[in-house]
Amino acid sequence: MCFVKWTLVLFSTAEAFAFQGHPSIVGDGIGLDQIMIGLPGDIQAEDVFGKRLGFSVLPGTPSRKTAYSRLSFRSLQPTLSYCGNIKSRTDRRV
Amino acid sequence: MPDAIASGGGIAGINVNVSPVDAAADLMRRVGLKVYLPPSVTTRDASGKEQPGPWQFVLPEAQTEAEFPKGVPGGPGVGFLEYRNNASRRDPARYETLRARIEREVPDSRRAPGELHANTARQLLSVLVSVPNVADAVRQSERLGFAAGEERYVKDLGEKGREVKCGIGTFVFFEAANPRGALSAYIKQKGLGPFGFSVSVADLKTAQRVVEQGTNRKFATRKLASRSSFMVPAAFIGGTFVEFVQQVAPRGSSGTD
Repeated sequence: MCFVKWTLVLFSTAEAFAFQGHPSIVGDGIGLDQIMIGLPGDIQAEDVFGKRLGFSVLPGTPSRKTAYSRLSFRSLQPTLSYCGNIKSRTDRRV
Repeated sequence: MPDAIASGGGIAGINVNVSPVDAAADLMRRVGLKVYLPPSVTTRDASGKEQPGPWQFVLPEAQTEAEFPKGVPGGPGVGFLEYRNNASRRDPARYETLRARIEREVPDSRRAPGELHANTARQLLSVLVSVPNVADAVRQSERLGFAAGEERYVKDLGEKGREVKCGIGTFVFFEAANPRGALSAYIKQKGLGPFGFSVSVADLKTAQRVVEQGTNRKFATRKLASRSSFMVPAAFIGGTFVEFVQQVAPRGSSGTD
């Protein structure tokens, strides 16, 4: 039996955009950065996030154990160049 | 992750970008969390010299996670990472490369020229988390330095949520107080934890048109002084509530839908 799982990672932003707030665990980081979304398979990821919700789901570089797709966010304002991705991972287990 | 997939899909994890990671680890230890820093990958630079990987995680150990609810910073499903050696990600040319790749590899007649996404998405704003007790979740978050934010009623969920600021984004905690609300129904099926997220868009009308055509459903627009939005229920899109938001004023203000 083959078990397939797909992970979408939603990155919000940009490492260059450091948050300047009061001291916290975030420090000089940007804070909320990624959300990983589990879906049963590749088709569901493209159907849900591409066809239904209007994101651009990029096919990624497959490796022996994982395959990646990314959905990327980046501001069109150069001064707020946050950049992120939805990255999908497919692990196959027998 | 397997739980999220087995139940038809859903949020399996959240990552928070921190810097420096060692300071984050120290703070987590000071509040009583046992943490570990899993080895990152090792990469080689252009000259072939080995260097640390482009990120480093700090994660709470499993035995301490029960002290924090799922989806609350410090609890299961929330990781912390620092980016390192990632100058290439800051290269302005990366955006153009990305856009060109999307245009080449993901053709979409709905997408306007120059946009990365047909829905005009810009930024991840919030992650929505259901918890046993909002006040406790806020208190636990404050132990890690997250400041409590605004409270807002979300009509599509039938619940009032409380924001906790997390850098440029927010966690929004909800508890199922309304047994007839959409969130209560969702929790009965999937349990507590992260259940949705909010994304800012450049043009809400475009986003709504694309999503309504894609799902073949209509969604109510919610308007506040600071934002207009619509929420897509989890049942239509693989187990995750997705809110599209167009902000019309500086973030931080909110109110009632």
